Amino acid sequence: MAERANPYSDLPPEAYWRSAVAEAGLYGMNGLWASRWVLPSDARFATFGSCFAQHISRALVARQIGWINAEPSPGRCPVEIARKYNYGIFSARTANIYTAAQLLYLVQLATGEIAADAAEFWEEKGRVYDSLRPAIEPEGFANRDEALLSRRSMIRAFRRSITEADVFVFTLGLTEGWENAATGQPYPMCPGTVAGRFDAAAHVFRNYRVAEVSADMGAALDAMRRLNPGLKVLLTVSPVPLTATASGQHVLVATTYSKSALRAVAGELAAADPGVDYFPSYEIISGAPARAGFFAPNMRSVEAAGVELVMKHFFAGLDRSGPAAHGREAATEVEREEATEARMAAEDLACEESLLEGFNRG
Amino acid sequence: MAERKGLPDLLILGDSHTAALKSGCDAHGLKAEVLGFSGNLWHAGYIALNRAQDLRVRGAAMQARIKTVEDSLGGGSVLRPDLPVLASVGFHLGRLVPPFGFRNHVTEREAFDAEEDRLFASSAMVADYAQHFRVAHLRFLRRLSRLVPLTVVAPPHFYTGQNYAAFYGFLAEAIRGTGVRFCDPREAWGGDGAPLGAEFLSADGVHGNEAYGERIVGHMLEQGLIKRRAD
Repeated sequence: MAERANPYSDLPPEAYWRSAVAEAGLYGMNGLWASRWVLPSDARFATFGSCFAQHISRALVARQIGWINAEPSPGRCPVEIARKYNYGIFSARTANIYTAAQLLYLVQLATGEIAADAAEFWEEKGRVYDSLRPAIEPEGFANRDEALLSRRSMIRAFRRSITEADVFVFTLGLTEGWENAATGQPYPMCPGTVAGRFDAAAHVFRNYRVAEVSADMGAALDAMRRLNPGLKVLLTVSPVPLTATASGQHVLVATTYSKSALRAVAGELAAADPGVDYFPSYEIISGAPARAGFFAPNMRSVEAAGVELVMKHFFAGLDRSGPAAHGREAATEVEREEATEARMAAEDLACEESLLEGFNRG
Repeated sequence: MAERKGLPDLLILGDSHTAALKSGCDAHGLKAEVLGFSGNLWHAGYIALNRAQDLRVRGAAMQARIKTVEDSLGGGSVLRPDLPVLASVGFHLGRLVPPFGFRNHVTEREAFDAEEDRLFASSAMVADYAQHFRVAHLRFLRRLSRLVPLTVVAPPHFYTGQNYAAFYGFLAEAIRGTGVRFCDPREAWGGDGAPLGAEFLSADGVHGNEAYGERIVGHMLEQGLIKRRAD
């Protein structure tokens, strides 16, 4: 019997599970993702989101691809001190942004729609903690003024990440979160866990529905594009399961809901908006081909081999073949450092002369 | 050990701020020997105490400077229990503060508000940063204080730019915290924390002048932080 023509007749091998997955095997899969944009060769990426997003930051830095570090550590800061103060993890010191509600709140801070001092500060044993990022400083801040200045610094840097980026990479992490019942302020983690004090009347649990995540993401993207109309947004979903759920469900079921909802929103946004793309890190780690083999023995943390494979697909699909669009800005920072070095050298000279003058008098 | 006749009242040890201290000693009739090295060398950790508790500096030319002072003191180590040391060691802010600000970090609200591209760094961050680069200096001063009668004096508090006050304040507390005898020039100028006036600065703008030296040494004499030799 002659083969009948149908829409599946001419599909490429990637369209068939047998050829694309079963026979290709985990490390033989190709074409998992191809960027929908041709980016400039010196494209700049801002990275934010849940903890898995930091792998993208690191991979970009390691390959010397334009990662925006809008809130770097102070100059010549030892690596261990920078790490202690959470510098260099995301493009600004936002700490993890787990939910779409959190992202929207931060974007509204960046646009000025919400005042910098609107979100709570928590005082504990003489130190002050920022409720938006309670673990950003290992011992909290010396006082409220300092905590607010640091928050304003983060907001400035977060805004710059948006305005200077070609691509805003955002990793969606959770649907579950906590909010202030009166103000609606979302918390990155439940008050009373890392800092603050839990108050059942003031703090409400939210397990955001697909429509809510979608609305928050949509509002956040709109606001970001008001700051940078050309901004492209690359979404990923963190494959890291929930540490705990307050939903009342089994944590495995809650995790599946959370990731499914986020995956659905990411897909919807990418389908509806040519300025949004979805990169399948979630599928690479959590999909059947990996047989959960990339998870550490706690079945939660992602092992380095998994991250490496994710990044291999990320860079294989990235298209940076467009003409360079930046360049000059990087040079400016170098020039500023050189100018300071020159001033320091001049001061050294003055010091030497002062010493010699001292010998003359002696 | 009996005191040797002819020893100066003090050995001034430290960076380029030793010049103003020497001039202040001269003004007050104190006999002082000076052993000064650039703040750059102190910052880089090129000057240290060896296992025999002798002062050593990297580089033959610099080591020769120590030898010259040893000879003028009649031989032996420059560090001896009968020769008080006035040390301008541990700050060297010119090598510490500018790099901290390479990426526009500031530590005060006014500076943060002044420019949109500035970033704020917390006092805890300043403390960890300064501690990292000065922990060896603090250890040096503690060891030195066990060898000689030691007074450490902070540099003139004129603050050449952003962040100087924050680092100055932290290091003053850190040195005080080592338990060594310490002179904070801010106290000699009323203790209100206001920067030193231009009339106390030398033409290069980064060192105290003779008027500064006279006042700071006078203050230390008044406070009993340094003394005239009794012999």
